[in-house]
Amino acid sequence: MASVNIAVHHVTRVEGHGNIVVNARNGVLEECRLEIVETPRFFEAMLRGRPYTQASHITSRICGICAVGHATASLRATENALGIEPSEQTVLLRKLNFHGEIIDSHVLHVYMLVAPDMFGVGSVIPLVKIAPEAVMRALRIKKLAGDLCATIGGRHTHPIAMAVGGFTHFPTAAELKELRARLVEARVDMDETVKLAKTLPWPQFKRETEYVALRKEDEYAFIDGTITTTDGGKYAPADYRKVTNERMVPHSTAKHTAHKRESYMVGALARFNINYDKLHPRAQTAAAELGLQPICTNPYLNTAAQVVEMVHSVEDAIRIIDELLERGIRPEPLPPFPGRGGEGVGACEVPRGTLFHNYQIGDDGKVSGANCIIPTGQNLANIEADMRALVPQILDRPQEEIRQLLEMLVRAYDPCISCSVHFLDVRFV
Amino acid sequence: MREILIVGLGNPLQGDDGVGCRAIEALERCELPPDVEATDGGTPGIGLIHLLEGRRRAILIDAAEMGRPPGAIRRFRPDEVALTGSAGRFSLHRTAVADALALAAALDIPLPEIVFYGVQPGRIGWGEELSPQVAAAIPQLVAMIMAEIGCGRPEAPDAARNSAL
Repeated sequence: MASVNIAVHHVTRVEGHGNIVVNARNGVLEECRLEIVETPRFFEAMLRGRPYTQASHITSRICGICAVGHATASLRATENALGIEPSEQTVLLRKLNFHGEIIDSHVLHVYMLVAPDMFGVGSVIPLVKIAPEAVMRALRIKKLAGDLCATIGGRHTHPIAMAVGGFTHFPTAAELKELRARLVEARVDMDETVKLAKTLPWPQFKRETEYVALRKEDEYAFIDGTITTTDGGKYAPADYRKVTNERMVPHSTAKHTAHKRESYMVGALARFNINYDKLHPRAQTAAAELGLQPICTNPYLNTAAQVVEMVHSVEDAIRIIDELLERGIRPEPLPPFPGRGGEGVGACEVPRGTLFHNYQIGDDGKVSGANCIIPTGQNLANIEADMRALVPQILDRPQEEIRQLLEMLVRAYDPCISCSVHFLDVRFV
Repeated sequence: MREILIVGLGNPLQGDDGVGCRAIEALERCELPPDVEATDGGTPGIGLIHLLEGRRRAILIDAAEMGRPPGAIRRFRPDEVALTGSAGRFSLHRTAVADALALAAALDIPLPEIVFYGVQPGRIGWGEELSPQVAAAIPQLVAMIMAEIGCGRPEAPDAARNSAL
């Protein structure tokens, strides 16, 4: 019977540092865990005492990849706490900005982090020799996504124009038209991306899983919605703790979450499984090309679901720009502080899954308490559950291949471990 | 697009890692020539390529582990250092900068002439405060960069002393 002993320190090509530990003796799995090596930091403490207008700017700096996602969840939490309703134009601009970040993050993951595994090379640098046109395409898509975010958010990487109740900077019609033309051109690159994804040798593995995502009846949800699970739960964002049920585990400084099972999954595959019917027809066609249909229980295909979402985001961004151009962009003033505080939750589907921000704001307009639950934190328990199911199925393979499949599994979740260091729940008294 | 770009890199929530962003804040208060743009680049990852593309010169300000006392400033060019973090005497802790430059080189993407201003961090970890030595280095850093773009006096004597530590 096979015995394996695998310890991968600092899994490469994930954001941050994580270790995989797997030990099996005589065909029996004895140890199987994903360790988060960074110690918890109390990020929330940074918000305490700060004016509500600063919260989104501070939290958008948590992560260079999810800056728009953190800012948007933060703004929604603040607006819900203060009873501020963003205008239709604000909602449209935020959705457009969000699509930019979804495309930006997914293209990086698909091409730079996952594709090298599939081509059997160590990183994107040697991939340049094998498939230079694919890497150039990835950079082209990334540039478009970055320019989209900069046009709406006011700056590359960090969206300074996003504010509570609105924007402080507005794109011109000419800028929107230029973006629209580039998005239409990008359809060719999307088609090529689907073609590439179709040729990649996705590992075969299935495990029944509970999937969790926000859902809206009128669109594929990225901002707001009802927390929905494939095991039958529906919750308002304010009740997020009924889904996340955070708990400490001995081997990780990050908390684990569980709903109806020992774990659940968030991210592109969860959204695809729950909201397939809301995808743009072109995205549904892309899914069919990739042989992807709900409910898909192969976590490796989270990356394929990201390809489908990129197609959707390009199409929906074009639609939103058309709507904005038709309405005409009008500068709108920001709403004043309503004079009293409150508590609010903001929920968004950021590239890696559902993100929650929860703030208490005092009558002085200062943040008095804050909690943040990030997608990677919610996926940790599920990655381990996948590893426990996968390892016995592949124990007869060479150790190097087992290690590779485990690393690819962790990467498929696109984990942002550098974020998961600061999502402990802190209550300020 | 302005010909010369000054980019501050780093995460301002991670202590001294944010020195680049804080230097940009200080530079934004200075009078910059019309062909110079200063931007807080944050943690752009591979996106750094797109920030740099099309410029003639770029000045990158970042926290750099150089085995020196906290706050020490050193000017260097990419080819003077190993940016990978293990092999060379210098290492930029955020390897994404190295990845971005390596990828641009592999793809023959023309990049501007690049100069780094590395600042030795004292403390990296969640928190917005710079350590006192790094905060104290910012005026010198700004003076050196203003000299780099042809404004103000050449390198201030105390800055030169600090960089030679």
